[in-house]
This record gives sequence, C-alpha cells and structure tokens, in this order.
Amino acid sequence: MIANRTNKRLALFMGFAVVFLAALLARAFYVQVIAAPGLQEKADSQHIRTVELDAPRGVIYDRDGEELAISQSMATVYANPGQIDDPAAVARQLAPIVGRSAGELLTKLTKESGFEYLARKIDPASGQEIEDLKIPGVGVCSEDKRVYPKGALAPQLLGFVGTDNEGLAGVEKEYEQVLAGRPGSLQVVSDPAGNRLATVSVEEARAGDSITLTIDEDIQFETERVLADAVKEFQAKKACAVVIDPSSGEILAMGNTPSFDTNAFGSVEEQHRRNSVVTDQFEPGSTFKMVVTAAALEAGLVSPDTTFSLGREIQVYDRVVHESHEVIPAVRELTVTQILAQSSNVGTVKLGLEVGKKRLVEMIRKFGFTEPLGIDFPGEAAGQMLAPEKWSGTTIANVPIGQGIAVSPLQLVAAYAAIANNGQLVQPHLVRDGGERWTRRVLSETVAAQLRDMLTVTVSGGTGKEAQVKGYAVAGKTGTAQKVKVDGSGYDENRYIASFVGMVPAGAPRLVILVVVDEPANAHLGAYVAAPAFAKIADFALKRLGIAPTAAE
Amino acid sequence: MATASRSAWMDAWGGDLVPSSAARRSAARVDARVRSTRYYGREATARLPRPAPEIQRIEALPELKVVTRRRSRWRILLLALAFAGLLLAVSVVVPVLVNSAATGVESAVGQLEAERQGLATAASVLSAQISALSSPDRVTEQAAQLGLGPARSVHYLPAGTEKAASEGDTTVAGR
Repeated sequence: MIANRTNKRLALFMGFAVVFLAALLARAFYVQVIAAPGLQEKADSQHIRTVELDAPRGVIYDRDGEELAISQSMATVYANPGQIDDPAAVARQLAPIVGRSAGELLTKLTKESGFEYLARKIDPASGQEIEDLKIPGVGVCSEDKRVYPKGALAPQLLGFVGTDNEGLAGVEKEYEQVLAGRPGSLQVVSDPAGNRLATVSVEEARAGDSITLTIDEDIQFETERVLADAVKEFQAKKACAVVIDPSSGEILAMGNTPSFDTNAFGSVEEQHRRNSVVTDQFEPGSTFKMVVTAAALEAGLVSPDTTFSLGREIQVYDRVVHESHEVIPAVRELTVTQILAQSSNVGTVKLGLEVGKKRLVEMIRKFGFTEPLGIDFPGEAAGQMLAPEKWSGTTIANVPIGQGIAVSPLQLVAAYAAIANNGQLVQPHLVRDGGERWTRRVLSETVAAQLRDMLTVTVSGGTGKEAQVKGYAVAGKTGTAQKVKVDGSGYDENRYIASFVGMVPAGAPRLVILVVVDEPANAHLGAYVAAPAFAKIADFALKRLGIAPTAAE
Repeated sequence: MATASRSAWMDAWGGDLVPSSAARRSAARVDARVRSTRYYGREATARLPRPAPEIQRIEALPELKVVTRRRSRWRILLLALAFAGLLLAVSVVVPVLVNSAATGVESAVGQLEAERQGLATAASVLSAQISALSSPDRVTEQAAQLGLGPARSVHYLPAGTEKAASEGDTTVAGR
C-alpha cells in the first residue's frame, strides 16, 4: 500500500517535471526562433550605433588650380533632451560657446524629442570646448561646411550650397552630381560610454570629384573690381561683364556687381544672387547692328565700302527712326563701315531693309540669339525674338538696331566671339574637360575678317574710342539701349543700358569682352560708360595672359 | 601471472590423471615451450596434448593464452581529462582572449580615426586660411600697403627692325 502511494507521488513529480521541461523548451524555442529577429533588433539598438560617414564635396578650382570653393570640417552640437537633467543650466553653459541665446537653446533642450541640433557647423574649437565639458546628453560630431576662401570672388558664378551641402545655385548646382559624392555609413558595437568595441559593417563614403573652371581668378577679380568702380562712378543699378576666349569658348571671367561674400549669401537679396550674364536678357541696342551688317555682307548685298546716302531719319510704315547723334547734316554719304563705326540708326535700318526679314531672321538664328547656347550653368536665358510670321511692317526697322529683341549678355558675347574666331561659333563653357563642345559656322571667314576690320574702325575712329587699349588694336561696338517702361508702354527716356563688346588684339583676337552697365544715372552712352571699363579689363587680361602688344607706342 | 596459474593447473592435472607416454611427451613439450617463453619473455601459446580417450574431456577445457599485463585505467582517465580541459580552453578561453584583443584593436582604431578626423579638420581650416590669404583681394590690399600697384602709364618700346645679331657678330662680356 505504502509502496503504491510512493510510486504515484513519484509519477506525479515526474509528470510535473516533464511539463515544466516542456514549457521551458517551448519558451526557449519561442525566444530563440520565433521572437529572435525582434529581440536581436532590440539588442542591436542598444549597443550598435550607425555613424554617418561624410562624403567631402569636391573642390572647385580656377584654371590655375586656385581653390575657389572647398569643404571644411566644422563642429555640430546635438542633444538628447531626454538625457539632460537640468536643461536650463546646460543652456546657460552652452549659449556663449555656440553663440546663441540661452532661451533658444532651452527651447530645444526641453522638447519631447530624442535628438535636437543645438548648433550646426560651428567653429571646431568651440566644438572641442563643448566636448571637453562632457555634458551627459550633449554630443558633438563633425560636419562638412562649404567655404569660399576668396570671399566675394565670383559669388553669382560659383553659387552656393544648402545646410545639407546640396548645390542650390550656380556651378554648385550645375555640377551637383559631380561635386556631391556619396555619403557612407559605419555600424559599430559600442559600450555604454560610447567607446567602439567592434565594427559590424562599413559602407565607405565616396568623396565628390573636383572640377576645374575655365575662370582665371585674377581676371575675374579685376573684372569685378572694374565693374564695381563703373557702378560707383556712374551710379548705376548694376553691371555685368564676361571675358571669353573665342577660339575655345572658355570663359575667363564672368562678373556681376553688386557683389557679395559667398560665405554670407543668406543675407543677400535674391536679385543680387543672379548671374545676369547667363540668366538675364536685355535689348542689346547698337551692339546688335553687327548682325544685320553680317547678314548683308554674307548675302553679298554690300561690301564694307558700299556707300549709302542717309538722311537724319527714316520712316518705315508708321515708325520714324532717328539718328541718336544730335549734330548731323541733313544728308550724308556713309559707307557700311562708317554706318557701323558711327552707329548710324538710319543706315542700319536701310541695311535691314536691304537684307529683308528672311535673311535677317536666319542670321539671328545662326548667331544663336533664339536658343540657349547650352552653357554649363543653370537657368540660361534663351533670348527672345518675335516669331517671323508675327513681325509687323515696322519690326524690320526695330530689330536691326537692337530693339524689339532680347538677348542674354552671354549670347551677345558668343556672337562676337564667332566673328573673332573666323566665323566659327564655339559653345561657351565654364568647366574645363567637361566633354565635347559643339562648334558651328556662322559666317564665312571673309565676312568675319571684314567685320573685324569694320569694328576696328569703330574703336579707332568711331564711337568706341574710349575702348582703346594702349599697345593693342581693338575691335568692338558700343551699345546704348533704352529700357522698356515698367508698364510696357514704350521706351523709358531716362533708363538705359550702356554696353560695349569688343575683341583684342583685333588682328587675331585672343579675348572677347562684353561690359553691360544697367541704368547708369549720370551718363548713359555705352561709349562713355561701358567702353572705358572694357579697356581696363582688356588691358589687365592681356598682360595677365602675356599677350604681346600689337601696336608699339 | 598466467604462466604461474598454468603450472599449478598442470600440476593438478598431473595429479589426477595417469597420462600416457605420448601425453607425457606432449606435456614435456608444452612445459619446455612455457619455459622457453618465460626465458625469452615472449608470448606463447601452449597447445594441450590430445589426451587418451579417458581424458577426452580435457580437450574441452578452455584454450589458454599467454597475455601481457594490462595498463591501469587511471592513466586513460587522466588523458581524457586533459583532453577535455584542452577543449574547454580552446572553446572558451581562446574566444575570450581573441575578443579582448579585437576590442582593444577596435578601440585603438576608433581613437586613431578620431585623431585623423581632428587632423583633417585642422588641415581643412589651414587650407581655407591659405586660400583666403592668397586671394587677389588681400594681395591687392597688401600690395597697396607696400605702395605697389598697376602702372599708371605704360610705354611699349618698338622692336628693332634691324636683323638680330647672330653668333659671332658681337662681343659679349665674359665670353
């Protein structure tokens, strides 16, 4: 009887033991197999941290390897508000170091968040100072900041980047894919103190590629300096200029005034951030007279010596075009060269009537005034011309003298570069080795040479005397265009755009330079406002490039 | 030990039976072999002589062998324990040591990377300073402070139209 009872107890105990073991096994199976991924993730989140590996943005160099835009490691301060015991004290402690008010920091430190930036991209020394404080819940990491060491040099051209280093304007935006690189990441096992114990995985960051611009730092600087002087002297609204190598299409300088320090672009008005050379368009005025002259010469309708008998004005339908010069005889004989040299409106309209709409439109298109030239810069203006089928009877009297048509400064300088390059237009560009550039023939070599000679006369004995450069023969054309009234009702009598575009040395041009001054207040003729600026820029650039004088003095 | 037992058994066997002459000869041969085995210290197997019909059952007796002395088991146990200990050391201690070493290396790598980062930061700051100091703006300013600037008036000298002097035409000082 007793033995029987003992056996039952043993069996019961064994049964419990078996059930207990089965439960343990089931739990172990659940933990090890079913819930394992989730638990692993939780465990990893406690001791594995992911470290972002910055991809340094590529450097932007000028043509001689001078750094125009570089990336610099800065300190970024962040906090986990949940880990901070006394936010007010921490805010007071950090405020003087990061240069922000304690109240601003306190707002961030009291947020219901696990991560807050307290200050981004501050001085590395300040970052080190904060790190040395060893405040629990406050950390410092490094972030790259875009720095423009030359300050106010070519800000509109270089553009700028956003807080996360993405290109927002200019070359920075155009070459974002090249410059940006690809950030990497590093997963590490760390102890509670943050010390690295093991590396789980590494995805290497790929640094951005650097680019070399066609810009010459010194010519760019001088161009901007001359523009600033011109704006100041003539109390102009703004000005821009571009220097181009006609044979290669390389742009040596592209300046805009007013300028600003690229490192502080945030405090600059949006309109001053624009690179007017590329993105804006204007009525070119007399600088456009070259086009109708080229069309007439190319069509064989005239030669440089063909003479026209011109009055003081010419009527085309209901439009009467006057000469801009005040003292001129009632009737005068001018050759085509003289028409261009003296910038005769009447003579140019006569040439336009000879050429006709079809040839004129064709020449305008060949010069590239009706489409973007495809420069490697964002937001290029395409130019604006009334569709030929919509031309009225008076349009043929407006367009030849550069009215009723809008072009960008870049298009205008490229057209003159084609003349300088024996009639061959080369795609203008800003980055060296940026791929194949297109070229196309606009004019015959003969006509290009004739135009250069005629434009040389314009500077030596015509309206462009102020553009002369000592020791060098200059060819060029002045331009003075009235601006359209704000309400669009005709031209404003008081607002002008003064310009000069020319090439030097005239015999075998190495440089083509355009200067455009917007709304000069105390003078308005391109001959007096823009031509001297051209001469200064050309003089400097010729010496900088070591181009020998062509005319001894 | 086995040989001694066999001798005792042989004596007993000799006491109970009256062996034939052939059996005695056989027994003598066996005895001689046993002695020989003892003498030379080698294993030997003694075959029993076939008994006479009366002693047929003797043939049913188990066959006897001379075997060497067995080794004691505690040595094997000791070896097994040593092997198990070695396995334990390999499977537990070595990973701990490796992990410890790896952690040390990782820590060193982390410190070196932090150091590299610091140096890279310093280098980038210096690079920016160099670029800023060599900017045309600053160069112009510094030049102006030194009284240097662009020439206000430039005169170019005309190159002579005469033929340039050729080798031997002129006397050059020092030649």
